[in-house]
Amino acid sequence: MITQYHRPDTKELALSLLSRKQPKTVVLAGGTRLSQYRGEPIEVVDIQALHLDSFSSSQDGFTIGAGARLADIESWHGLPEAYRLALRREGTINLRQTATAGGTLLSASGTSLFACAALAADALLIWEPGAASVSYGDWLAMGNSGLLLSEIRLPASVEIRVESVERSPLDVPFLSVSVARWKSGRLRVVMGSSSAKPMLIADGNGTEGVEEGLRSASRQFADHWASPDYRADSVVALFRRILSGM
Amino acid sequence: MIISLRINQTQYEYDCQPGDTLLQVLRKNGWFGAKWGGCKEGECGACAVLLDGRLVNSCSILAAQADGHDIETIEGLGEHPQQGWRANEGLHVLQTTFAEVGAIQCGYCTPAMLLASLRLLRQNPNPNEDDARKALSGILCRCTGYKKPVQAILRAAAILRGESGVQDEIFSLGPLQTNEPISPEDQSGGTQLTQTRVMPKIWTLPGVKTTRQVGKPEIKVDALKLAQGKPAFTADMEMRGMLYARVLFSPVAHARIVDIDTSAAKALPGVAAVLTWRDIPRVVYSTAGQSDPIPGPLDTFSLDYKVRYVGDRVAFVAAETPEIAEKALSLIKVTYEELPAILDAREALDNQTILHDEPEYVNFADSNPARNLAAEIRIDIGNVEKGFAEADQIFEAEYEVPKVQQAHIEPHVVLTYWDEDDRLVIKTSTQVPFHVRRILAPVLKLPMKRIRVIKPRIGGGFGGKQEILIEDVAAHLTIATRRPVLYEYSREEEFIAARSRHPMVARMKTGVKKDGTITANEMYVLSDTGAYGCHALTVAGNTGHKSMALYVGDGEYRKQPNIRFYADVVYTNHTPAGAYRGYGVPQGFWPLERHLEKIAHALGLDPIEFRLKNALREGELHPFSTAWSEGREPRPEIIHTVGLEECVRQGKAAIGWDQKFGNESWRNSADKPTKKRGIGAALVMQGTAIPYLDMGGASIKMQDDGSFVLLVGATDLGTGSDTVLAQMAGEVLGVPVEDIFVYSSDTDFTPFDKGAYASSTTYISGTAVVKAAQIVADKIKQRAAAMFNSAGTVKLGENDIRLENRCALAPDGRSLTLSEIGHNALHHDNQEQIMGVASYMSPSSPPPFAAQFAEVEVDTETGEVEVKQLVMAVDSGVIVNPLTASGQIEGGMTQALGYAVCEEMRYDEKGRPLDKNLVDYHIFRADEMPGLEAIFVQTYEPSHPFGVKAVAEIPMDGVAPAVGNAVFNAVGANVDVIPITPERLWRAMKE
Repeated sequence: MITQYHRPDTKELALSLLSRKQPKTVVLAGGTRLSQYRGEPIEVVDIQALHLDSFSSSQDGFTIGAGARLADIESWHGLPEAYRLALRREGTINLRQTATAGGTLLSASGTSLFACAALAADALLIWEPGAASVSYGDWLAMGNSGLLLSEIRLPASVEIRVESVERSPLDVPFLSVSVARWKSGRLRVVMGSSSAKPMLIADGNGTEGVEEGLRSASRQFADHWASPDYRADSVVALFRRILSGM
Repeated sequence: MIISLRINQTQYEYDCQPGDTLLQVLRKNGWFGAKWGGCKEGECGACAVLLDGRLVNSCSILAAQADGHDIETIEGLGEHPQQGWRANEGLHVLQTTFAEVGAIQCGYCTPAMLLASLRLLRQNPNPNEDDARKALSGILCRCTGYKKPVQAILRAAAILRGESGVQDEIFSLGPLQTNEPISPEDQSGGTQLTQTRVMPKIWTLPGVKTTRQVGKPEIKVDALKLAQGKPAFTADMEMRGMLYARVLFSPVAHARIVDIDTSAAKALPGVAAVLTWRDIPRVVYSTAGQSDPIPGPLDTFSLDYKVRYVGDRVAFVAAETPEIAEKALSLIKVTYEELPAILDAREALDNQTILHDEPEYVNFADSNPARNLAAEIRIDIGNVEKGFAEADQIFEAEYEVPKVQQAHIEPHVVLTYWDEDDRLVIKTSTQVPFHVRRILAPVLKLPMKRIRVIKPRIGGGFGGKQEILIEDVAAHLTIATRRPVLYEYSREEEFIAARSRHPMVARMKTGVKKDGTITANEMYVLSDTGAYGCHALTVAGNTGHKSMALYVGDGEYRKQPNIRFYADVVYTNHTPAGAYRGYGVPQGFWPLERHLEKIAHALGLDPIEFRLKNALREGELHPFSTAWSEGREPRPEIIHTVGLEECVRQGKAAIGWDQKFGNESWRNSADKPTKKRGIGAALVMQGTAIPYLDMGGASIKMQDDGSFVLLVGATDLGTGSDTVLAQMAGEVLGVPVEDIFVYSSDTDFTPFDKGAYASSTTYISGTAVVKAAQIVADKIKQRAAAMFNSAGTVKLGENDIRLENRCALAPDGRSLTLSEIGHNALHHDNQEQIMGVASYMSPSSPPPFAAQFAEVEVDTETGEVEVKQLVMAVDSGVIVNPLTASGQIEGGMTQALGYAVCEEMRYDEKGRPLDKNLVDYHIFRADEMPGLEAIFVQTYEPSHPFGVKAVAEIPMDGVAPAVGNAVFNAVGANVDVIPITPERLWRAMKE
């Protein structure tokens, strides 16, 4: 249960609350998950007053405040279409009015197309204190890197495509492939699935070995959404479809 | 903590806990317009409010987050203009358009939809349909199919922009004058800037009479209260000293309860009662809400020493707050002796493991708990073996249909309390208030007369509330504590501990001649009723009774059809199945219509002509009417009206069948090389009420001012039955619907009605209303004649008087208003209360018929199916209210679409449900819907005073097979199991 609610208006205050060993204190961003929390006692630090909700673009890329609402980012004209389409699949429009970019990435499952796209794009997470930069992939693998996520940075000049499989147009995308391609030829391929976190399949130049990597990764998973055989065949089909469109 | 909220421009200070959601705080403080759909993932959106102008789910943010912010709720939008001397601004135009276009059915999600619409129109005063769908996409609606809410938004936008008259495309075609087919381009259009598409096409066959109220698209009588978000639902009611109930559910699929220690739970401060099987009377009953005697085994106890599925009950708790009740559950220590579980219906029959070995079990018909058999059906019509011997070819195949959930947005909810006369009052979201009372009385050890059941507004039922599901829980706790108790299911509890559609395996065997004549048709069904046998027999019976009756064969076979229907309904350790709209019939039409499609293809026949060749025709005997009936002895029944051929003609035209079917360039013309298009059809029939069983009553009284109060036991679940019954009464009494106040579903005040199921309300309860209205009309005419005669020389009799436009009219032109007559009756001369009471039970069950069509696009690599369009042309007799009726079709098709492609309740190897929310169990959203079109082919059913047949359930029957047939048309792959998931189709294509 949530025993105390804080709404600091400075980062320093927020960090001082979050750095306490006891009581356990966590970040409250959009609240779409913490509003349902019924576990052991915790205190929450609401970041709405910290002005982490801006987003901007530059030659280097896109900077999205961790507290920026998905609905606001989605309607941002400067955002590449693939991210916009991925964001639209993050729950319903009502939820996207409160869910934040940071909260979404940090709690993402393999069915989050936005998380998969961000991983494919080798997104960077900026943590406070100290503005420490950690790749999203490293964070997925190793966990916490700081107390407060302040920004997400996505690279510019990267082509992103996402394809997915679902039972109806807006159903849970239980299988997906996200591909990011740099002008340099670098290619990152991420598989999303119902059984695991977003999974980086390939990061290199060219497509050699990617299909085999996708097949091999997808065969590890079987659940009530899809069998390994189906996953293996479909992710390759999705990958080829993406490449043919790039 | 104290938070400050500015709600509808007024500042409020509320005390709350840090972990309280905004929804909890709003509802606790009287803002009942925001509804709780039971969900934890925020997926239903019924709780949505505007926070600083944004539409947010109030269940998905903490109240503390909203501190200092602006909130708009439905209560601030607009109110009924007639508030006595207090002038007000009236309703918002959105509330009016939602009511006018029939966008409000159960009304549970209406406040959220209205706020979503308001936000859209503030941002975009000229939205298109896509914009409207996106705006509504965060709110799940299980009733409407979203079509009319979208049109309501467009209409409101047009009005707000100042357009003078918004035109509906109204297709109301008269009696058949030519034999020319209607082309898709044959559509009238208005000259207004904005056209909305609300009214269905209506094609009227000869014989339908002209009426004044019946046939009109009247606004629902409850629309305005629902558009204002009034606290009209069960959970909106609060009582002093009210406790909150929770149930401890079994985590295992099959076990004996060896020990339960409730001491710690009872000792928790705030806990008022903890009940186990030892604390309450052990009375066996059935939870099925059906007439007496229950057509099924009695195999359920409120609490038992055995659990039979994950989600079965173990203990009840009542506490001061829901949180304390939850905590108490965690303190109950249970020792289970686990038993083997049967999780596959194919392994249930004659398994060593027996689910029901209790001595109190009461058999019905051929149930046999020693075999795990809840019901058995063996129906033979004609000589099937002879028919097979005469066939040129025999086709056999096996099909499967899944377990699916009604998923009404309002969860099951009940409030119980003792009134001042020491009678137990049960306010419950139920379809069957009278059955609740009758069935619970012995369970609670209370005489029936000491129980009153009241149904408030219901937020959807679809059969899921044709069940005495949780009323006993709250009632036992009220008895134990003497205090009011509220029990409301969460969405997870709906999935693990409510009811579902019966999943079935069906084996078809059909013999045909080369010319397509069906010589014999056989269906064997293995139905999984889950842990308890509620509705086991009757659902399975309907599977055969309705689907297999449609095709009788041709030539000599038409005179003596050869049909066999056998069913075994078995117990398994799954959540029990029960009643779900369609009631076994969708389960029958999936195998039947898919099977016939394969046969037509194999024989090289046109699939629709093949069906029509063998289909039942007007004047023929319903083949099952002498073989089986639901609950009573079967009696022969002739089918008087069959509009099936016209349904086919209209539906084909609407979907462009002739341009698409067999057209390879159309099939290959999707926008990507990996996509193929397909088109498919299915013909279906349903039933209208249960003959010699279903009964409804009505009582009408006249008031001083010439208005009327209509009391009916009939249960409006949002279907609009209160409205259509008022229309029928108004037709007889010569008054508009606004002069008839309907009060329904209160076991103390309203006449008996068996409840809302079997598509009976318009037909059975409607006839009772008409009969009661005729009694009242006769008395009005008698009094009017006397009043005329006292003032004139010509002596008039009651037969000389006509009732029209709120007046009694004499042949010589004199008139009296009903207000004058009402005053005369109550105050002036030979005073009497003009009223009429009547009831009706029908000897017949005239089936509605329909042709359903689907257009799909298939991804040949991944197997994804996207349904692009659904058309349904239906013969439901005369349509009393085309708005509410088309709403039923659109909403039903949407539910059936989920059955076809995505809905499925899945379990793990230990029988634990895997789908426990509306994210994993996907129901269609507003912005992913295919086109939906409803067409009514009006026949005149002579067994009803206004020619009516049923409309509510038939939309569920044909969508899945039409989609399956369309998929076959697209890629030549047969999927015999629904839902047609991407993987299933992928495998079928590989084969």
